[in-house]
Amino acid sequence: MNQNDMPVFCDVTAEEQIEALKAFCVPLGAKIISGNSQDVLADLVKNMGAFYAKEISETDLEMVLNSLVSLIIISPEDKCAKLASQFCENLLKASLPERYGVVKLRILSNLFHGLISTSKNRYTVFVYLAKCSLAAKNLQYLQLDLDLIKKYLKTWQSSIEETQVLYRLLFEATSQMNDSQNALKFINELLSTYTKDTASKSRDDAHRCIVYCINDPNIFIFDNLLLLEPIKFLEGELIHNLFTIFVSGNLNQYTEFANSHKQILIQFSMDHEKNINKMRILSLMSLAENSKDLSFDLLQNELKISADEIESFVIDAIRTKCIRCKIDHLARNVTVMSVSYRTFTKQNWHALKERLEKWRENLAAVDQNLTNILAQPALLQMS
Amino acid sequence: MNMIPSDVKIHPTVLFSIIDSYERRNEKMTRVVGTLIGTNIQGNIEVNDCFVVPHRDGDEVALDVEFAKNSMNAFRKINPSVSIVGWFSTGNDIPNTSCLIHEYYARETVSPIHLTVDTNLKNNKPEVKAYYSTELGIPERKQGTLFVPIPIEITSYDSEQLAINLFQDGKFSTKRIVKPGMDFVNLKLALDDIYLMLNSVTDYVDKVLAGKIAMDSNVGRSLVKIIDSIPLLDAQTFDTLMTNQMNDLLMVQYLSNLVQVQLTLNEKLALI
Repeated sequence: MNQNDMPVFCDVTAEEQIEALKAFCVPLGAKIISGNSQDVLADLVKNMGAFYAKEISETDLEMVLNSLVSLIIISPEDKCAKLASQFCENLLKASLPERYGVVKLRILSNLFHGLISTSKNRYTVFVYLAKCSLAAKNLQYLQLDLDLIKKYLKTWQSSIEETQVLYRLLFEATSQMNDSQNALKFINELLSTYTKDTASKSRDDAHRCIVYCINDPNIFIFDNLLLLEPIKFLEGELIHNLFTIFVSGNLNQYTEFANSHKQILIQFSMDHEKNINKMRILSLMSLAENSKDLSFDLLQNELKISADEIESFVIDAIRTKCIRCKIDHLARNVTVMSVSYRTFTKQNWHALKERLEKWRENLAAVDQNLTNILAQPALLQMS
Repeated sequence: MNMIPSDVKIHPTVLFSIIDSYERRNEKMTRVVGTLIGTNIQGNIEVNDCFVVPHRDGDEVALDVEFAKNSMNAFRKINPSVSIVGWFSTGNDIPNTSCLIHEYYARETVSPIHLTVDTNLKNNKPEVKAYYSTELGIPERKQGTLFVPIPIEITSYDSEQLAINLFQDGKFSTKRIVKPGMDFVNLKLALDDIYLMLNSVTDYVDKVLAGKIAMDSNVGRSLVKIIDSIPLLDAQTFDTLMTNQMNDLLMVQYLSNLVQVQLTLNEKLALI
């Protein structure tokens, strides 16, 4: 489909539009060359700072910039790329009050939709949109649907480097907004773009991923990351050891590690207290995998907490939605109803299959009963 | 307050009415247009209902504004909390004439959306698109309008979903008629559905165990979560539970039938 998805209706010709913009811009102090309209347009985009050099209301600014957008998207393909990237660059750098942030996002989003959907220029705009979203702390106009983004990247024939730049930006934007699910998704995609051969270049990204997974208070399960090449590449390093503890280890292992390698926590600016809290929850999950009844004594011992703290700790753990359990104060016991497995091995798959089979059998029995009932039409036909 | 539309949720009844009204349009009409009703909460729009407004296309577009106002007032009487959120038109693109209609709706409500439903199936499916409009030009001199696309999501209440599922069943029947089944029949159908789904899930797990599909720990965890959310009972207890319930239900049904027979009999006797 070789078209854009933003219809534009203009009452005047492009030339008249450019003249009007020029007439508006010149009194504001910009020097715009005279010449053919394409050159004037290029100069307008270059000097677009004049539009917002003096105070201008949000609606007015939006109108003027929309006008520019509508001109950029109809300019010839060879000029369009330069205009679009300069427009984005200027807009990103424009120092406007904070409340104008959302205007910037809307304008960039309009430009994105206005460009022909197969055009590579869309990639440029998307990157700037991500940068602006990051700066404005607003994800509203940023496309976060991974399937769609993958489809886009394919139509734009983006290189691996371009893909990585985009995923990195999306990860930064989402992690900044505490959108843990999406952040995890994008960092996962980012690391997946590396192969065995390029893994050596991925060190920074891999480090960021590990630090993020450990620091983010909302994510607990990330065993699938261990399979990614960049993470495998770090094997043998301290940070990898630490990560493995967070994937499958327990509190004791962590404290041991932290005591002997204090410097690494400082190097990656991690908070020891927060780590301990997270490890407690992770250890609780491990314990719950093995036994459905956990005594208070066991918890006190394994998680290094006092009896008074158990209740609030268990409530915190339930809030993470990784575990469902009940506290029985009389029996000094915690009964586990269900728990997310931190790692999912072949054994777990076997267990899963057994339970599915059982469910199927039960269902078949119910089905049989119901068929028997339905086979007695005398009971039903009167209604 | 920011009312600029950021996303649109549409109920299936709206799409049904639009398509239905297109099917019933007057002979010479090329498209139908109408008002969308729903709520706009800080740019999150939900469209629950709609009605057609008579119009005339051609060189000049004319909309029966009086009709639109009266219909809207009638809708407000039923449900005072809804308001106009925008308007719809059938067709794949936005013709010039749409701008004028859009201007009318922009006077009726803040940032109206425009919904297009492609009833001509240009891309082999009834594409639904939503837009909001934004102006371009220079201050104090508007020179044009941009229609910016907004993401759409189709959402439904439980009861709506039920009706849709029923309609879908009629897709392959030659008579094109479906009837809602009785309680038991529905229950049986639901059971069959679950059974089928369970089969495919078990199939998947089998393949994973056989090494045909890569182990995805996240899939496994999600499956365990589903199984954990239903109580695990052994066949015996489950059976007793089920039979008890079923007996009660049958008894109620039997008694209500009996009452019905009694009443019919009474009516017949009274006539003699």
